[in-house]
Amino acid sequence: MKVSEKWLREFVNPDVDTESLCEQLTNLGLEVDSHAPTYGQLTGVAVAEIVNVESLSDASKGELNVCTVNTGTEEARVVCAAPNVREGMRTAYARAGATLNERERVDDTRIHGVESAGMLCSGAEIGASAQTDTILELASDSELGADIRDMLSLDDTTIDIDLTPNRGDCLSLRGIAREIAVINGLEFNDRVVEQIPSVSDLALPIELANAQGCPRYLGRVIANIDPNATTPAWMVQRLIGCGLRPISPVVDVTNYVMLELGQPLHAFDLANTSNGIVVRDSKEDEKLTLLDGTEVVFNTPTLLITDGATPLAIAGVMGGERSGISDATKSVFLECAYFDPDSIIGVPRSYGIQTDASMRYERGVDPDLQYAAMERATQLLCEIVGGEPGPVTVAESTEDLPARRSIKLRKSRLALLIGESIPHTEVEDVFSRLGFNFEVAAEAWHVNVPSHRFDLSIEEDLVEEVCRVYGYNQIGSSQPSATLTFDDTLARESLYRIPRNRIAELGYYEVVNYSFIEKALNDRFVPDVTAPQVANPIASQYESMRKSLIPGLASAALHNLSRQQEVVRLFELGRCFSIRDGHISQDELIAGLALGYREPESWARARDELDFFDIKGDLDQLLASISPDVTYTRSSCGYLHPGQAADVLLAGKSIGAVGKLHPEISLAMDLPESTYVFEINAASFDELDARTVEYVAPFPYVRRDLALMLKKSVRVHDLVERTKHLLDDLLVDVTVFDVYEGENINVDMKSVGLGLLLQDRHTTLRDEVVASRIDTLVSSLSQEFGAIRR
Amino acid sequence: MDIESLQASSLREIADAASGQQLEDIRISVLGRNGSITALLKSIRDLPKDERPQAGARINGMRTVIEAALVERREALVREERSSNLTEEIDITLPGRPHHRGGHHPVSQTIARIESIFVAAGYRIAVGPEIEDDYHNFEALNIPANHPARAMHDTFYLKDGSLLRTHTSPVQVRVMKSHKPPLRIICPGRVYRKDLDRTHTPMFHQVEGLVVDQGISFADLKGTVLGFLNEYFEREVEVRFRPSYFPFTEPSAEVDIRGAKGWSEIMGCGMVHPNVLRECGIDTEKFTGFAFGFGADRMTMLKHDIDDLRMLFENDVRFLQQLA
Repeated sequence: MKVSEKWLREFVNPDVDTESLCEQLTNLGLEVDSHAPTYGQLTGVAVAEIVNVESLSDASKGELNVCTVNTGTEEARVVCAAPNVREGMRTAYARAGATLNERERVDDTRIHGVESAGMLCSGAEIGASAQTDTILELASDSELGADIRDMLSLDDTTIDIDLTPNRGDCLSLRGIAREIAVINGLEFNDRVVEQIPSVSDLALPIELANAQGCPRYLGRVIANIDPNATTPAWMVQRLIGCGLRPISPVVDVTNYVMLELGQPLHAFDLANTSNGIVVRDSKEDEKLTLLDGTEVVFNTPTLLITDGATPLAIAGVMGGERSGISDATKSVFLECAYFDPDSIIGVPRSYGIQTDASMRYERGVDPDLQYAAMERATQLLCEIVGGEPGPVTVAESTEDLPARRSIKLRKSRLALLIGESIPHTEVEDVFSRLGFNFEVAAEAWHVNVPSHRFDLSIEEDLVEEVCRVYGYNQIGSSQPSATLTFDDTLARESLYRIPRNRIAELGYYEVVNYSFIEKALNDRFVPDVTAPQVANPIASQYESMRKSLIPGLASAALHNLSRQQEVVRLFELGRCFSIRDGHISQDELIAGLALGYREPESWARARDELDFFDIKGDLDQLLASISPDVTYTRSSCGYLHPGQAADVLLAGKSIGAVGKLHPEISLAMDLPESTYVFEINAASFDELDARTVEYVAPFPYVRRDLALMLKKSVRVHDLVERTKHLLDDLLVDVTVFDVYEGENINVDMKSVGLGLLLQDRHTTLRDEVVASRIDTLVSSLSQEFGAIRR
Repeated sequence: MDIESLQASSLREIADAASGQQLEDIRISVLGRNGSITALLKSIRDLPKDERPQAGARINGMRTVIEAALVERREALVREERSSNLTEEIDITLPGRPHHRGGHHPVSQTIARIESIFVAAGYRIAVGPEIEDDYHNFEALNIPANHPARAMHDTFYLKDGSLLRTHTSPVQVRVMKSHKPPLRIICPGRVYRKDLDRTHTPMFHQVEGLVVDQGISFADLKGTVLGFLNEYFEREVEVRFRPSYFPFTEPSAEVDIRGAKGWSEIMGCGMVHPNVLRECGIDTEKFTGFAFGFGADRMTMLKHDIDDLRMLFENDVRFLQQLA
């Protein structure tokens, strides 16, 4: 809500400057977003005298004059079409480079081929009045060259308050003034509105077909208004001070009363409403063209103002075009209603129309305000556009109006919730300042909440009111004392701390990608699973919930490559989503991506590009903390190179995959062909092995190296597993120290070097035992795999 | 040659020997099978019988002296070599063999730090799903359908009607329903709101806290928030509490801290609304509670003077490595 400070101070004028006033509002819970001079953008406009008027004789150019103006220090020739220019008149001159109220810039220009150095301004262009077709006429003794803002006292400040949705009562000058009065211990000038007697009998019948949605509807006809009236300058300036644009006198009055009191009003052209008013729910597929020209089809029951047959307005939101006020309007039907917030909430959103009225009705309007607002609007209309007010027609259903609330606040509850005792006299003072009537009982206060504070309904609401006015910062602070408990159903350390630490230590940087990605990319990586789709994405590239972390890592890698990084090593830990059997699963995954060189560049070694076994080695390191029982099998994972892809098995169960990114994907994404990735389920880290320690035997190790010739098709994993099995009781460790294919070896064959570390856990191992066990091993391997010892 | 002059010449040679090889040559020529001492011992036979024992003893005495001299000289040579090795230098200013560096994302670090601060104060950590239902994200938190407060959360909906949680409060609901008070938890995690500019991204990270116990007050909330902020920022922070509104707390407050550019909003908090406690099956006459919540991303920005939130999600290594 934007508020004119000048206007606000007409209601209540505490002896504090703008800055402090804003701080007071913020500390009351009415957060001031910003404050700025209302006419801050109006620059370069000065008082000037028209010293000469020359008519452009060419009739085809209409009523154009070339005026010579003098500001006391400069003279300029300006083209002007306004009918009221005359020699000796003082007016507002905007030189080239000036900015007007609506932010438009003034430049030197040619009008019908005539040079114009800047322009002469109307009141509307400056924002000082509603005049649009004549230039501003200033007093003949106005100081030449003076800034127009100083001359017209356009020195208001607009305060922009970011109101929370519960404070509908502060969507008006009166509401905010009330709060300022409370905090400064002042009274505010609450205007007493007189009843305006009717001078005609003209009235429209009003029927409440949905009295729950509209418990009260006041209507009044004001006949024969002056079509040439304009909104007075003081009202224009106040509207502008509150961020509204003047439109027409009748609409300006309804806006003014809304700003002043918080009660939205709507003015209809009587000519199009003469059948009377019926407030009812919309019928299926009823239509209405609104004031802003959009056509709305009502597909859900929506509260409407109708003339019985056809809709005239969406109740509390916006009027229809047909019944709107126009230059031709002779008589006005004024609506001032109380709509139940529940019947308005959601309507603006569902039709995409937010208005100043709907914002107020959604949050709630004081249910006792309508009579006063109707009289105030009538009074202003009669002042400004004249006309003959008719009687106020009232349709109301008192049983549907909200009941007055009385709330009990226990003294003990107040002390408990605040954590300290506020003297009862202070509490009662707060209630009095807020205008709450209350009764004091021994243990509690019984507070009657005024109609404008419809946001208060429970004891805790009153606790907040007391704290708010007493001052949140006046309340002390303490530390909660609590029972120390042990509860292993809730975590005491960060989720997946161990894998996160480990992978970072392996030289990967953690990234954070959005959880939603482009659908095509999502499906390209994981085609055979359905992803949840966002119904209202912020942009189409964020429409699909990611099924894998790899696409995000790949995009992040590309981002870094295009910024000249030659090595990229990234990881992410986060949820991925899929729909399985109609249920959404949202598992936490860990993924890594590496590309570029194996090691950072150094004088001390050669530089190799990394390969499959580098990333597999990293994954081994990562998984070593879970269990020694990790194996790999050939994988058919869609986003991996079919020849360089492995499924990762933990105790025989697949937990993820590792491999080279599929060349088609690398190519399509502009990534280097040698891009390696892995992705595993983080839940694998949930139950780390409870480890037991093995006895360290004191007997010496024996190392034997075994070189075997094998067919290329034999998988080293099988050879190693068999070796482990056959040497079981003696084997401490087996390493694959060499794999050779090429020169001096048959093209179908490879040589594999196994390093065997042996130990007898009960005695010193003798050479004969070793020799005999190795012979047995070799003959088994020869039988099973065709291995030949070299 | 007589014994005395042989001994003298041998000892001289030993003293002059410059290498292990020279010493070995001397040893062979003096002590070897065909060496000078063997020759001398053979010559004993030519002596009169009564002089033989004395001559033998003298020759053996000489052998002992020469052997000792050899050992001593050999050790001296080794020592010399070792000390001459010590004068060899490498260029210790050459860079060491480097490893790839890695590290945690700044927001992960922030969350981990916040977690450890609260865990040390007796809190536990709770997490929950990111795709939530309307009940846990809104209804159970006193935000019925069409409540104006829903406009404060620009919610992403999925096509099946579920939604991306707009805060981690649904985790609080889940814990309050599954555990009995006393409760002291913090709930970190990703949350989603439909917003994108310098200070908003459609996904960000929240940490929320909840304490429910007997006698928990607004003053306790203030003490907790102040204590946490001082510990997180490692200085005495100037803090202001001001009234605000959240449907799930009453009274509600917004917390600002004073920085170089004036007050800046840092978290929302309040006393848990009785409707929320009741919905979770907690007796509001027996228990009260407070809750607070803030953006871990914003905390990261304030701590490291980052002025554009989007930088946190660009994943530029040149940015990440500065804080790793």
